[in-house]
Amino acid sequence: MKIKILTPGILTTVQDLGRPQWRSCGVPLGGAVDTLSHRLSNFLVGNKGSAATLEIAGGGFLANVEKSGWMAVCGAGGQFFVDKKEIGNGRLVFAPKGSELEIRANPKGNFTYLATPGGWDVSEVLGSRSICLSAGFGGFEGRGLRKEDVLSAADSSDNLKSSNELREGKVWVSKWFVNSPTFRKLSTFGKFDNVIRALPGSEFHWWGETQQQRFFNTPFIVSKQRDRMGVRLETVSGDSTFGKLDSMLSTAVAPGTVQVPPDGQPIALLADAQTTGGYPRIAQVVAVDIPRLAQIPTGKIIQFQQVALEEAEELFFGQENLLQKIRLSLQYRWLEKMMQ
Amino acid sequence: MTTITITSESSITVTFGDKIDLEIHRKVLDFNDRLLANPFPGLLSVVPAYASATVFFDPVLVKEYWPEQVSPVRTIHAFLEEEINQSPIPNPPILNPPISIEIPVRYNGPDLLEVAERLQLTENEIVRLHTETTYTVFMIGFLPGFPYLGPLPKALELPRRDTPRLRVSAGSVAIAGRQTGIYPQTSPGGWHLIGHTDFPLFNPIKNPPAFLQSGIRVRFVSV
Repeated sequence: MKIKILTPGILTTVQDLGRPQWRSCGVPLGGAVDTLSHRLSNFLVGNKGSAATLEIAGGGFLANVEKSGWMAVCGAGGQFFVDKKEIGNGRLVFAPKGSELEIRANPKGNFTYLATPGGWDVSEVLGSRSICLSAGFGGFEGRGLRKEDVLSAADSSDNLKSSNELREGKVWVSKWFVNSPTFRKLSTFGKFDNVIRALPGSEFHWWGETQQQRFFNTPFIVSKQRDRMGVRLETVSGDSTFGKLDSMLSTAVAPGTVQVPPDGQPIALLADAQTTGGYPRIAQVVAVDIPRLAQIPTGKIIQFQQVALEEAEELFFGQENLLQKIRLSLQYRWLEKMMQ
Repeated sequence: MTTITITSESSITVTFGDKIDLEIHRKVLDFNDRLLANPFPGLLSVVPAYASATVFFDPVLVKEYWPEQVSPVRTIHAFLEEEINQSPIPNPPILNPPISIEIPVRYNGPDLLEVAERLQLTENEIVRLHTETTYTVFMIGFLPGFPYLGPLPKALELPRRDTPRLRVSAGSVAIAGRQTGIYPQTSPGGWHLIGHTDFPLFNPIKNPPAFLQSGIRVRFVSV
C-alpha cells in the first residue's frame, strides 16, 4: 500500500497511541484524539491498536493509490469514498493502484482514521510515530501532511503481496463492518450522544454546592475554539459563574481533565494538551467518553453526568473486553481473507 | 501534610504541600526518584511539579498483575500509600545529587525596558538580580522541555502580561511571578521576555529529550 496526497484537508497527521512515558519532560501524550476509532480501524486490517494511522480532521482529503493495498476507515468525522463511490466506514477495503481515496466531511463528527496493514511507515521518535505539533517532531517529517507527500504501509509480507496480486484492478469491500450497532454500543454504552460522564475533579470542592450541582445540570455548547489540545465549552446563557476562583500551583493534567480558567468557561483537554496546568479542575471525563467528546461537533450541546469511580472503571474494562473480542473476530476475518 | 488523590482511572496525584518551597519540592523529588527506582508493573510516568507528583499507569497492565483486585486505581492508591508511610527516613539519601548548569543569556528581550520601568530598576540591575540567583528546576511543563525555575528574587516579581503574546520565539528567557523560564519552542506566551539563549533545551532524538530535569540547579550568565 502506497498513497500520494492530492489534498490533505484541514489537518491530516500520522497518529498512534502517543507517548505516555515522556510526560515528565513536558511532552504531551499526543496520539489519536479518538483512540477508539483509531484502534478499530487498525483491528480491521489485522493490526495491533498501537499501529500508526492517518488522522483526518474534517473533510477535503484526497489521495491517489500508487501501490495497491488494504485499508480501513473509522471515525465519525468523515465519509469514505473510493473512485467517487461511497464505501462506508468500518469495513475492510482493497483499493487497486490508480484508484482515488477521498474523505468528505461528515457533520456528525470531527475526525476519521485511515489504517493500513502494519501501520503507516514513518520513524518512531520517543517511542511513538505520532506527530508532536508543539515541538515539530514525530509523524511525517514532524509536520502535518501536504500535497505530494507519499506514504507507505509498513507491512509487505508475502501473504499480502499474493493477495494483492489476486485482486489487482478491482475495489473490494467487506460485508462485515464495525459501525452501528456494535460501534454504537462500544462508544456510548447505552448513553445518549450528548451525555458525557465525568468524575468530580481534584478541585471540585472549591466550588460551592450550588455550583457543583449546576455543573452537572447545565447544558454546555461546544465552542469553535477547539483543536487537538482541547475543547472550550460555553454555558448556553453565556454567563461565567463557574469562574473567578484562584489559580493554584501548577500540577499534572491529562486528556479528559476539565479545567476552569478565570473567565469561567471550562476547557476539556484532549490528546495534545500540555502536561501541566494551573487552573482549578472541576471534572475528569471518564476514559471511555474522551473519544466521544473529541468527536462532538462544534455548536452541539453536551451535558456532564457525574459518575462514581467504580462505574468509570467498570465502563473502561467493559469497553476493553468488548474491544478484545472484536479484535479477535476481526483478526480471524483478516487472516481468512489473506489465505484466500 | 501528604495527600493522595485519585485524579482519573489511570492517574493518582500525591501532594506534599501547597506552596513554592524547596523543602516541599525535595519531598516531591524523593518520591519521584524512589518510585522510578522501584517501579510497579504498569507504571507509565511520574510527573513532578512544584508540590506534587502525579503517577500515570496503564490500568490494563495493573489488572493483569493484580488480577484478584477489582479496582486498579485503588490498588495503586494502596501501593502508594504504603510507599509513602514507609519512608520517613530521617536523612533521606539523595539518589540524584543536584547538578548545576550555567546558561548563557543575552539580556536584550523586548520587555526588558518595560520590566525595568515597572520595577523601578535599571536594566543592569535586572540582569544582576537575574544572574546572581541559583534557581531550581521545579517542573518541566507547558511545552516540551520548558523549565519552570525559581524562586525568582522578590525584587523581580511581576504578574503575567495582561495580554499574552501570540508568538514568543524559541530561546526567549522570561519571568512571571516568582518564576523564570525559557521557551524551548516558538509558541504563544504570557511571560515578560528579558533575554535570549541558544542553549539546547529539547531534542527529541536524545534520551531524555529534555536537557533540564526537575531538581537541577541553574544559573544564568550574561553574555
